[in-house]
Amino acid sequence: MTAAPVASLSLEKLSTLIRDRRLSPVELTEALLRRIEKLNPAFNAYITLLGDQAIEQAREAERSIMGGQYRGTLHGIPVSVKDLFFTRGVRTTAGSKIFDEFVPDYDATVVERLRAAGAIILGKTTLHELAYGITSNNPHYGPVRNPWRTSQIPGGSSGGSGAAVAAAMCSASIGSDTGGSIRIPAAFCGVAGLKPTFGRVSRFGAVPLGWTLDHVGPLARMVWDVAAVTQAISGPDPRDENCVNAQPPELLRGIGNGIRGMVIGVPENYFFDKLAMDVENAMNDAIRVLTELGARPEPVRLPGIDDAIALSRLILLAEASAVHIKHLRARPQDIGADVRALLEQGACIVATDYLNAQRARRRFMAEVDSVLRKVAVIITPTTPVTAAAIGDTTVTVNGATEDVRLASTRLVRAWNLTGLPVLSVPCGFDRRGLPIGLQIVGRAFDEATVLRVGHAYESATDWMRRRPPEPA
Amino acid sequence: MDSESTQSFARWKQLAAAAGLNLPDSEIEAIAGPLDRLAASIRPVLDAELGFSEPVICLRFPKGEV
Repeated sequence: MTAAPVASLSLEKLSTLIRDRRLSPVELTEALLRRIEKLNPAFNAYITLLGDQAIEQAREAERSIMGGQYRGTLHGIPVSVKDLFFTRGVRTTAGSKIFDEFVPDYDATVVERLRAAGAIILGKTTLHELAYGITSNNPHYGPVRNPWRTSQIPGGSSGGSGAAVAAAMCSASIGSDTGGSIRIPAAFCGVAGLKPTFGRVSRFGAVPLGWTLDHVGPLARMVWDVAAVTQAISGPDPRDENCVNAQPPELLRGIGNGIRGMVIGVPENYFFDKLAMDVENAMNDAIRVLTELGARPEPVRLPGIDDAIALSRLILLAEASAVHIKHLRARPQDIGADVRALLEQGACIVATDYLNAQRARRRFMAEVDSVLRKVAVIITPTTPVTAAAIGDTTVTVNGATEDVRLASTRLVRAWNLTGLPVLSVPCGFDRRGLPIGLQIVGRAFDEATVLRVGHAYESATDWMRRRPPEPA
Repeated sequence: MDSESTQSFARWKQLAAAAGLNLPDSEIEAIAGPLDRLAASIRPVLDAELGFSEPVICLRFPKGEV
């Protein structure tokens, strides 16, 4: 029995049922653990399961709630955490053979906050090795498979999180995003994923990839759910010096206020070039829906985008290599070929080029800031194609062959340079039934507007209510 | 290997060695192509006039502490 119905309910609905004592956190957790046992062999979304711990947390949650100590929206809600985040006493592999036996003695801040909110942590999700890729085809722990079509990748690097959320193997998951690693799996798996503003969510206790590009954020099936989790994990943290010393606004308040009169920027250059036909059609339809909801599309230009893509690549290459250079020198044979090649490239970047890239980055940041003074958000596709087949190294986009990693990241990675909040929501399916994602870029620390746009769009469409087929 | 490729190979081999990596020639050849392409695309950006702008890396002190 896979217990699909209760597992598939939104976090919002589950939260209400638990708060009103119409659903036991223990029953819900047990149902999800049974579901994971049934589905994980097919999807490989989880790398480590915390069954006994989760049941104990669920019992504690039930005792608290029945004792009148309800903590709020996430109390009793089963979630998962990308295996990049330290979990005290539980191995944290970062998808790497090098960390296969690493057991941290403290929780990452996001894990602490989930626990404090009363969430139930079901397990650690599989990821692309060291979070350094977009396929989640992990050479050490196996490929994660897309629940919509198991021959396809789920995206990455938070592929396990995307798959687990899509297949209702958890209510939400925490991922990380350095060059699209929340948004790409969100798009490929047909769920919502938010890269919050840089500094909104603490990165303490997360294995880094690129210090000036890493962001932490949630994936969930509905935008309201994403907002609720973001609210719980956001806030100051002196242990992460990049974390802003300000409490986030109430992200759920006003989320349903609609977008009438909002000016939305639609780029005239780059973002709508070289798209798969189904992606282009889905985006045109999405803009039509947003217009019908009362938004006013405004063409905008980002002339520095090509430079920004190259800058983001160089900065990430250098930073990731700096993070892992010791392992690259000592244990290259224990690093997968694709990640090892990137780390080797990054080690060859000279300091002056890296520093000047970090200076040139400011130009693109200023350009986007200038655009966002005139529009509330910028709308683009999340990826130009849908999920590629596992093992493919190239994709074909309108007859042209592209490297799968470069193709999957070319519409997302520049936003990591800016640190701005970006939400990906489903906006359709291609002719093979694979999800397509829409990207909403907002002003710094204005997650509320980004979420409001996503919520409005979601409410006017039914993409996020569709679920992948249940495996036999 | 033509002259340009030879120079490229030598440059990346030298830089890899400077980073403490003892890479076989096959791996140098594998990374040379992507690095050359990235270098070609990014050189104009890095060589553009950047004035006295600072890199996006800050020395930051915890707020409230002196």
